[in-house]
Amino acid sequence: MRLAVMPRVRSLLVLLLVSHTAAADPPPLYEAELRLGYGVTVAGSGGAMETRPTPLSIAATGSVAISVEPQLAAYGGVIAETLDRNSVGATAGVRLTSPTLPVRFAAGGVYVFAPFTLWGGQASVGACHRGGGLGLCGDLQLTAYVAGTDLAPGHTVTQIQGVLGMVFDAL
Amino acid sequence: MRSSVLLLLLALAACDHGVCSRHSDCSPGQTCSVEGTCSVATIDAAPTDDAAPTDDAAPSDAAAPDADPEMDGGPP
Repeated sequence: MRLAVMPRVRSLLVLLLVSHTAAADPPPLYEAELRLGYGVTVAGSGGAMETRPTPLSIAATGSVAISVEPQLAAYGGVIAETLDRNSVGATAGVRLTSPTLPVRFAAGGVYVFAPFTLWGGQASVGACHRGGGLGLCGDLQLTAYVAGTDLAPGHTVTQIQGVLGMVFDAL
Repeated sequence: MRSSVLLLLLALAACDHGVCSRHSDCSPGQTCSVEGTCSVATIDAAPTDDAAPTDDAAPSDAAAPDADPEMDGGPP
């Protein structure tokens, strides 16, 4: 009898702990984030594909919560590429955060406007460790550029990057 | 997690730096071709196209001062 009850009690305690944590940490209304990304570019046309390191991507974004349940936020900001080239652009999208797990999903678009143009879509999945208004996040990010003056004719570029992010709760 | 990092490192090790897919993959002054190789932009391509409007514009600009003397000289 005691052995059968213990797992239920333990599950109940875990559930209470999780619900308490979720209730104690409401999603911040505004957030700022600095992101550094680096990884692999898979590019090509038709059957010919090649891989090469991506530029170092730097993004400074701000987000605003647009829904509490589900925890949805809209983000936007500026991006830059550096190391082997220099380019500047903008990004925007939505981010879904799990209320019980430190997992987040994001999807959006990217527009590089200088010195050449690039249009693409972006998706990422990752996790954050938060404390005291700050958070350290790690994401796996996929970016696909499908149009723009920077692309060689008939080519597309897909980037797979590991992204390190520092999140600041603004409010 | 470790396997994904390993895959990333393997992909980086297998990188072929002689190819391009973005013009910005190439050195300044070069463009990325349809074949995915960097090549110097030919003289016939960019400079001539750029120069053509300037050349077209120059005579029309030059024609204006020429026209004025004719206009000036016309009435008398």
